[in-house]
Amino acid sequence: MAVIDMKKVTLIGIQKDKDNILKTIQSLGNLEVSSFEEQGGAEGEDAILELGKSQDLAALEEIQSQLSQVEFGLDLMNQYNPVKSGLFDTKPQVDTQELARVFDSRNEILAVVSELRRLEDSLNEISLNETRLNNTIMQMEPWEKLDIPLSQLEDTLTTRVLAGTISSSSVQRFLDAIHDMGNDLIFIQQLGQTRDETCFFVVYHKSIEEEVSQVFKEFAFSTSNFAGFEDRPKQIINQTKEKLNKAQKTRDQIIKEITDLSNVRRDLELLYDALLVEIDRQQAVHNLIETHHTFVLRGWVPAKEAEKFSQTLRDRVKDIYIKLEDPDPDEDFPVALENHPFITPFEMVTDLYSTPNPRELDPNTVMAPFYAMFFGIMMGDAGYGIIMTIAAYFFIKKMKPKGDTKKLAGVILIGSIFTFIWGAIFGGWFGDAGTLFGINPIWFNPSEEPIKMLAFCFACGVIHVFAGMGVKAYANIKEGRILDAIFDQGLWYVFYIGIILWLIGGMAGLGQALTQAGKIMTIAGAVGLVLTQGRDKKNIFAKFFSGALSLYDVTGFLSDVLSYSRLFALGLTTGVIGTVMNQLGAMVGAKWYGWILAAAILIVGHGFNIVINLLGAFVHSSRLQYIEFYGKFFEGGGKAFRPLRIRTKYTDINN
Amino acid sequence: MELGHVLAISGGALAVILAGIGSVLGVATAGQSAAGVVAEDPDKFGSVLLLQALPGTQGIYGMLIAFILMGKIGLLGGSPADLTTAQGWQLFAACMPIAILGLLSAIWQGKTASAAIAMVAKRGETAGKGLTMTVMVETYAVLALLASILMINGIQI
Repeated sequence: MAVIDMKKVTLIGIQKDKDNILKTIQSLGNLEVSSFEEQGGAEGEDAILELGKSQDLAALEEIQSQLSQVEFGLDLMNQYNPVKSGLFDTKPQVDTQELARVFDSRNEILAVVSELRRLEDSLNEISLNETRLNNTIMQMEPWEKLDIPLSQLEDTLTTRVLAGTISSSSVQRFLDAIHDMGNDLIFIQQLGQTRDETCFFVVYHKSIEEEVSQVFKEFAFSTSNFAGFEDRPKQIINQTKEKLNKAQKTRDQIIKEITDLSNVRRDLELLYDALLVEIDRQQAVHNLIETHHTFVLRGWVPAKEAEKFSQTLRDRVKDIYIKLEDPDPDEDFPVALENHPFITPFEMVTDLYSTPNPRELDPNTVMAPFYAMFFGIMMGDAGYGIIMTIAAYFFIKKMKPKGDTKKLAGVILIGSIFTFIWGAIFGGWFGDAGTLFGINPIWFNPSEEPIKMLAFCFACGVIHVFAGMGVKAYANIKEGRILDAIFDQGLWYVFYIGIILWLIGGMAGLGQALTQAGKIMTIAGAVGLVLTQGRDKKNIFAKFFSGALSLYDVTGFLSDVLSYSRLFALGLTTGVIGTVMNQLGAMVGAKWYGWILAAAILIVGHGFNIVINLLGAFVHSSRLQYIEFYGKFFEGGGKAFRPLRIRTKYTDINN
Repeated sequence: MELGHVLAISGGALAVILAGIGSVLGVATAGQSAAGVVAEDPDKFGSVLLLQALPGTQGIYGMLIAFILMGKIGLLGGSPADLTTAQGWQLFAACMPIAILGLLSAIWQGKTASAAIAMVAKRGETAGKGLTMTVMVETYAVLALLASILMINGIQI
């Protein structure tokens, strides 16, 4: 239950061994390379060093660009030929040799990616072309009835030939106006419509030019321009449709080609992982201090594994210097935690808040039991507990999650077991189903005795908050600040316990003795606090003033404890929603089809209830740890230990 | 049906409606931010979804109170209890904490969630801190829920 001790590693090697050394370190996976600035090499080193760095940066950038190419290829394949992944698929196992082989032959695979890129470009081009063709069709459709090749739409010697549009709302008035001219030297044909305009074909003799243009002006007749079109509109539409068909066929062809290329998906995935591994190592290289012939690597390795680590490296590389040191007393080192398997999952809860700093206690061991208990009370249903336990267990067994997902699953598994326990204690079995079948609560039913339940929640709160103060006191004593422990925690204990006894003695009528003891403790505690809480102030008045002011913290304690009423509220939520689902089920369940409907309602309803309350229980028990518990002692702000290791996305490395 | 029933049912209905409106607005606000983040980085879907879901609980609390009320006045069992007008007002008042606080806290929790989602967009590792900030708002909805439950429970019929 602790923060693992680290050793500071200084390693000096020869350039030609660099790759070998870093590969070994990466496969051992237990050394964190300090950043270049932390290595302390930035100043005073000469230009050689800068030269070395920039070259490596170029290599790194090249690999990163290759990674994004591979990513592009995989995205494109997923778009046109998605893999159907099963719920219980596990990642393929590969060994490091295979990754290395894929990495060495990466140019072949990248050639496939460029091919994919070319295909995507043609697809884009086709889309662009299709848009253009569709526009042409849209433009031509209103003119479909015009049976003249558009290139011949020209004036003759004595007539004017026009195609144009007017606003659809004035068509009738326009036609009337033409008719009213009473002139047979004009021919007019109404054609199709666009969204708000109507198309006309007009031929008239040049002698009536003036009258006609008057009418045209009145109705805002606008002449259409068909530059670039030759044939009859109908022909143009047919030709364009033909082209569209062809484009569609080409597109299908290209998609088929992409689909055919998808058989290299596995190679791409392997290459992706190989590149990830390479990038991690190159980034480490970028942090080294280098000269032409040698390099220095500084980093951290867990103290327990330090000897084995340096031995392995010495065995593999002949010319190498490794020095292991303990960190200076006030030197920050990366934090890795080591806990009992039951506690380990809860590290994730703490990490969400902040990583412990290297000089403080790992809070997880104290936090985990409270977390699991609060989670259990908030879910508070034995039936749900059983279902969740089974689901979480199978998830862990079948999916073999890693990292934070594994820890989260562990938290839920342990929380589910507590859900079962607390559900049984308070008589929750799938809502009220337990009561219906005569299963009585082991202790009492909270919804029937709400005040008792509230008192229980507040008691949990007091214990939790006291535990937090206790951890702080322990830390103070461990660091030799015994007076701090007595004044800052001990006196508060006396004061708070006094108040509680005083109140309980009065309320439950437990007699004078308890109340009296409570009174004395409260007063003694308060006096002590007024005298000691301002002890770091210089001025005597300031001492008393901040001492007296510190008593105001009692409101903080009160709000902390009241905050635990959420245990009751969320527990009740689960129970009542579950009960409602049962009632809904009971309403329909009369005939055989009613039974089926009822079963569906119960499964969906209780499933919904589990999910919603799982979210609530998780965030609210986290909150109780972060605000009420960690607020008392936890500092955090540590930097998590991130060793150089083999990190993959699509595959699992088995050696 | 007496005036007492009308009042009691109005209280329950308001608890569902107001707390529900609050959740709708809160989840929508957070959802709009969440969609923006996921458009940029689909891998953050999990953590922003969690943040988006948080303002949704007030609506559930409102519904919870409505059901507790229905159970209290026997509306679910089919044999409604007799209520005086005074009892009706009492039940109506008991629904108000979660109705009003549910409405307001969900809206503001949605805004906090939205800000937290923006924080996650910039720095993915801050999801836990954003979650905590957002849950701070919910505390008062939980307190209101508890007050409503205890009041309804305590009213003599």
